[in-house]
Amino acid sequence: MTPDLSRRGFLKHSSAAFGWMALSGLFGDRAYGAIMPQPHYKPRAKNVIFCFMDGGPSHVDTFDPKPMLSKFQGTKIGPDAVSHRSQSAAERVWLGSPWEFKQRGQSGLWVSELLPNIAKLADKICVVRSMLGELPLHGQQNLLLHTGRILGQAPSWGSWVSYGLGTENQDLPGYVVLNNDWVPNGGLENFSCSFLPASHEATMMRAKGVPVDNIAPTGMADIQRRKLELLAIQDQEFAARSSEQRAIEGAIANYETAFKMQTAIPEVVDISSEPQHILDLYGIGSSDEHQHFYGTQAIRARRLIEAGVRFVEITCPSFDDNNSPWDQHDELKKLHEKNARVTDQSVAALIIDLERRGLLDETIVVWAGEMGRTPHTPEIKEGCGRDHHVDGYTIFMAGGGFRQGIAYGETDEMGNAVVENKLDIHDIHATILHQLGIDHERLTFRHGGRDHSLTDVHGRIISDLLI
Amino acid sequence: MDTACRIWSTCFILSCGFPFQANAFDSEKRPYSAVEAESAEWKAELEIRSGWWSLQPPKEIDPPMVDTESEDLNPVDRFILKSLKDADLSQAEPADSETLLRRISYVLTGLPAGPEQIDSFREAFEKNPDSAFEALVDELMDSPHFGERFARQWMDVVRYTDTYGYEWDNPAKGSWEYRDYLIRAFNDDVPFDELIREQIAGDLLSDPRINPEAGVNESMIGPMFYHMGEHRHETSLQFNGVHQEMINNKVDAFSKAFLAMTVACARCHDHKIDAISQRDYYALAGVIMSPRWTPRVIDAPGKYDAEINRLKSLRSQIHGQMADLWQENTSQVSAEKIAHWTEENQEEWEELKQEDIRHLFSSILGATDETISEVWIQLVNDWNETSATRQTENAGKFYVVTDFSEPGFPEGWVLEGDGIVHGYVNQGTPVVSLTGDSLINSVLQLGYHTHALSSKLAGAIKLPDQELVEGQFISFELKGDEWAGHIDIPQNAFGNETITFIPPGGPSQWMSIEDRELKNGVTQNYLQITTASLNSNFPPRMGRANVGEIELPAEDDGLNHRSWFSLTGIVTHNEEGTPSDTLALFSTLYSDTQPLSIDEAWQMIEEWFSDSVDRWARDKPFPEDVHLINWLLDQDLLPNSMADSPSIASLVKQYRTVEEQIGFTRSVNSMDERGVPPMDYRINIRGNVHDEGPEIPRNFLGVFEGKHRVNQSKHSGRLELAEYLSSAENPQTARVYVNRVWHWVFGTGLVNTPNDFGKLGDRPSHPELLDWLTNTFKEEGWSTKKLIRSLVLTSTFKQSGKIGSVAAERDPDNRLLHHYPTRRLEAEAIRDSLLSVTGSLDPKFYGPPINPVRSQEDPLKRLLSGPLDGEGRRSIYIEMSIMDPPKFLIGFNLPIPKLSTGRRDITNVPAQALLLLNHPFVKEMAERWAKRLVKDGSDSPHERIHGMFRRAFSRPATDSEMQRWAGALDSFVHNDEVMIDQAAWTELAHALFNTKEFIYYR
Repeated sequence: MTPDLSRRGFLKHSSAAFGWMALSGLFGDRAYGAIMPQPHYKPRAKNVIFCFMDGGPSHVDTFDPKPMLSKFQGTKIGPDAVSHRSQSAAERVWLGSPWEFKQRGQSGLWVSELLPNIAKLADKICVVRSMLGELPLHGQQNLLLHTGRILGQAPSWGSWVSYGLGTENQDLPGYVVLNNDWVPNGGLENFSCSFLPASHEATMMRAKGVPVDNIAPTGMADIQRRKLELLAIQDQEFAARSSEQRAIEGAIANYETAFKMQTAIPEVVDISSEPQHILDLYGIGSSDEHQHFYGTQAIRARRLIEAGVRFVEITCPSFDDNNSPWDQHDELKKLHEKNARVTDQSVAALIIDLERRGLLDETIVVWAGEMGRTPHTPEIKEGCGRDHHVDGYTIFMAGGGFRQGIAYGETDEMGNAVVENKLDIHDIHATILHQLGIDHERLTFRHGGRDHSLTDVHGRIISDLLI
Repeated sequence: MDTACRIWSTCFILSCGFPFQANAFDSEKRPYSAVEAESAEWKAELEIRSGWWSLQPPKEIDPPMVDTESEDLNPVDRFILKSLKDADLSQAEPADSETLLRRISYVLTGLPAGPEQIDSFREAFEKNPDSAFEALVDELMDSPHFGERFARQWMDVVRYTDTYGYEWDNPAKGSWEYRDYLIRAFNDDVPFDELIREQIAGDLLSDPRINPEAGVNESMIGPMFYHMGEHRHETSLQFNGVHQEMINNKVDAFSKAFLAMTVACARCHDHKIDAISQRDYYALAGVIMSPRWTPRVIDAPGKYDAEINRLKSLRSQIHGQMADLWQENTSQVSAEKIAHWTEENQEEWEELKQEDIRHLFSSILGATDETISEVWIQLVNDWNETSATRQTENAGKFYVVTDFSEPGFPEGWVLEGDGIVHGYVNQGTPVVSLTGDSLINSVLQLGYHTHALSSKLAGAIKLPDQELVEGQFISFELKGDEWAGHIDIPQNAFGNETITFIPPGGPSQWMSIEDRELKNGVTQNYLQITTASLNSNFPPRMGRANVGEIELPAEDDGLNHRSWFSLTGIVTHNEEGTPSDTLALFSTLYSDTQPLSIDEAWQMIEEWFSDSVDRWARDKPFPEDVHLINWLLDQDLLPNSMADSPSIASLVKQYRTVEEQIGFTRSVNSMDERGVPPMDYRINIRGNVHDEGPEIPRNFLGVFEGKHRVNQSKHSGRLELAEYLSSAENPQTARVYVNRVWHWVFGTGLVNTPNDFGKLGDRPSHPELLDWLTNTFKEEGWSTKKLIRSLVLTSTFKQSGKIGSVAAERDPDNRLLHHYPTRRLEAEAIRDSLLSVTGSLDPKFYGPPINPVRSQEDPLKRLLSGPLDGEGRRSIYIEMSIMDPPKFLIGFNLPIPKLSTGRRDITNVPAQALLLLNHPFVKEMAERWAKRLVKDGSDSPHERIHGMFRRAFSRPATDSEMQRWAGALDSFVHNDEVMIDQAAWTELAHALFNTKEFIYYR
């Protein structure tokens, strides 16, 4: 059977990719189909780890140096710099970066001192400085970043990747969100499979405490086993009496998968077997609780990829009553530094660790927020900050066949608008799918009378970003 | 990517279901524009499109003859049997009594049958299956759980939510009242045409439906329908697109819910295949945007009139007796006392302003007999100068809107709530004290005071559009507490965060509001002064409800606050600033004479006060007297305690008793057209909010032109829209609803896309049956219960689930209904069954939602965790938050309700197995059941297992099942006494919950 990626609507109501194989032998039902789809063309990578910098890290304080901002700090931006893609007004004033930028490594890529560990990897990352968003609002931009639509109501890109690639491990989901105990703006819909088969919904794993809801068995394993034996016969009889035999057998099969997940998931997220030098690399020993947990999630991301999960997303922890983690309308200096401390070492460690294990080539690490921050502020004062900005913000990719040590695209001399190589998130989606061997125009799902895709009518593959 | 293109494509995702790509089908036809919508070309196209089946009136048709005995058959069955016969298929054999009992219980109430019903129903069924079933149906339709069941299904259609999602997930005001309204309506079998009228224009009905038992104006609750779904905070003035997104959601929900049409598709272009133009979208948008989207009082009109009249009368008696009391006790305000008070308190005084009465006292205290005359002259001169200057300034700068010498406001200003309607008082009216030892709290200044009778009574003043109010600024002299404040609402974006609360305590203060600069498609800005419950954005997002040090805690749902405001001055002006105090307070003190000694000075003060009290007692107080008396009351210098007058004390106690009878004003987000001119909505070219085109006159869809009077309305047109949609002439609404009811009863609609009767939707499986049912439904008075009854009392409903091999081959999707399908319980029914079977269900009806259990709380978004068992309440009462909806229910396909859902998904994933295996709620339910089981008095494990089967599956266990489950029990037992081994029975119960039979019915 040659699976046709655009004709899989029949899987929506079945257990689909999520552990079907363990059971196909049991019930002899092969109708749910071979699930590892054929890629559209030879893939360059097979995994994605998305480090979601929720809230919008400032581009002009990280990867997009703008010395003119310091020169004109305090000067009014004027009406020409006002834009509906920015929280802007003519009387606001330019604000220089409190951090020093340096050229790093062989490539000479500019990275500020805010991210010292990522800076050391400058020769490995592919920076895009020309991202263009829709609206300077978290909810819309988060949904745009995740689902390709500002209003959501469509699957998350993790779900699309899971749908397009299937899973290598029947006991684990294809899309995992390593959450840091915080629901991003736009809500859980950011991680939803929407109209795709339910098996592609993100499985949320939290940082603190029990990682996954309902995964810890409520009773002893032998008792549970005994119950499953009892249920197997009881339910088979019921299935025979019912008019929806296949659905009920699917539900029975899910119990077998669920039983295995109870062991598989705790095993893969348990980092206690990691050697000390790895724990140190990721900063697990940090006295900062947020950094400790972020590092823990970063190691888990690697372990999940190794175990066959295709798309792992790590969210940032929220603290100090910020609307979202990197959302520094005030206290830019203090709180951007805290966010950097929490994430910088672990993200760098993840790239190093993947590379040492030979996994970086086949794994795309994405570092992105949903927006950047205004190069201006209402008033220069102690504890001032930057507001929402989507005309020219910065993200980077590492591994997975992306070029290394380059900065693509340009913003104007104030970092206030894209002037060269405008990209939108659809282009990034299309390019990443391309690296995974998926044609973004052909990965479709029929819903409500039409074929939907992640990129809808948009998206270009940006070969300039690729090796 | 330009925005137009983005919104265009987003629109497809949301509701259109057809692609924008040039290579899509229908590609030879380019989309029409709104301007072209009037063109001959579009009219010709519309003519063709309006021939679509769902736009035709239902045909008058008789049930077909299947065979010679057909006439005795149920008419619904005749249609079904005819189709089956034509396909050479037949119905499945009838279901047995147990299957039928379980099925009908879930279909009609969403709850499992009670074990006591099994035997009685079986016995009756054996005697006469038809009459037994009919009696059972009647019993279940009379159960109040019926209303909960059908309300919840309609709630999918109207995208019910308890919160507004987006970034802050603010509470949706009155959502739960709307939910309760639906439950009552389905239980009372309110005709559906009435429910259509109420949900579309309930605020406008000349004869609203008053429910004396619930004490509410039911009709007024209906328009909450519009305000479900996601609402962004702030307004289009901050971020262009806010009101446009909201209107899009409303047009979408309205057209899907009542018409099964996808009108929101036409936001950017004429519909590519259905009979909907872009013009239609904006014409309808004007109808919905015209009224204020604002909270309304839903208490039945005059609900508290008796109490209010009684309070007025008591207040008047108290007023009179207080006058006597104070006149008899003028010694209370003696010169010595005031002098003494001043000496006692003066140490805390620093830098007193001229307005402050203590400034005067400290001046006297600082003087001597020798200097007092001089000091006094200086005071008088200062006062004269300041007073005159300020009076001139005020007169030049501020235009007085009203001095309140008469009750009422300028034309176009609208009042809401008994608090404001009964809030006008004469100078010096006392506020009776509701707690403690005092008789009165204060005396009131001439003006409006929502708490004049009771601070439970809500009040709001709604101003006309800012353009219709003179001046760039308007300022109000306000005082208030408990989250009263003002809010301006541009283009109905009621999550507006310019909300301002009145700081509690202290004297009245002027609060000034500037007209907003209108842009981004905003054409109107409505200001309201309001108590908490009539504020559309109360409680606002966390952190925005704070005044000074006081912050509204996350746990506070914003209900039942004694919120009040006093409004005693209104001015408009064109420059910033507020009127200055003209020091009128001292006008009755300062004159040509001056004291010659300190004693004489205090004597003059004494007279100043006692004259005030005297004028007040004769009911002729000056405005200044009110301030002086309140000052005396605050300093405890007037008799005002229960002990001072047993007679007044008795009146005060009576007053308090009556006040307790008054409930807090109930409100929901509804609509209000009073005082606002209707507006036509500007088209957005290609849906781009940055690109506005001409205004489109308010209207309903072009395809219905000439059949309704929406475009002739002098108001929004909603009333005319409601009339047309609920009329027998309309081809759509009844048919759409009948199909929904069929879908709820049979698990599949006759049209299997209940929200889309357009070209991309399914065709009806039995078009003639659908028409016949629609006509009958209208003839029988749009009765939902009669309709349901006519569906369930059919042999079609009473079939078993057995499928013949031929049927499976020829009609695998069961479109012809050759058996009753096995159905998975809805999420709510699974949870409710767990509660019911284990005896944990609290059958309490109505009320504010219960927080779902959450593993992680987020107080900043009010995402708080509730009890594991949700207080035992049915799932319909668990809070439906958009941001973090109840996870257990979501696991079983509760829809995330940003948009109308016509048909739920039914997925089948391992996460559901994990929920039932390991969720602590399921475990808890097993434990509770076991706890009851070990005390149930059963003689043997067999007897008990039978009982468990009966509760869980509405049937006893078979012999082989008994053997199997008793065997499993043995393996769980760790105790010699199997009958009291609660742990073993817990495991057995838990296993039972995990059977497929528990979450399915046949």
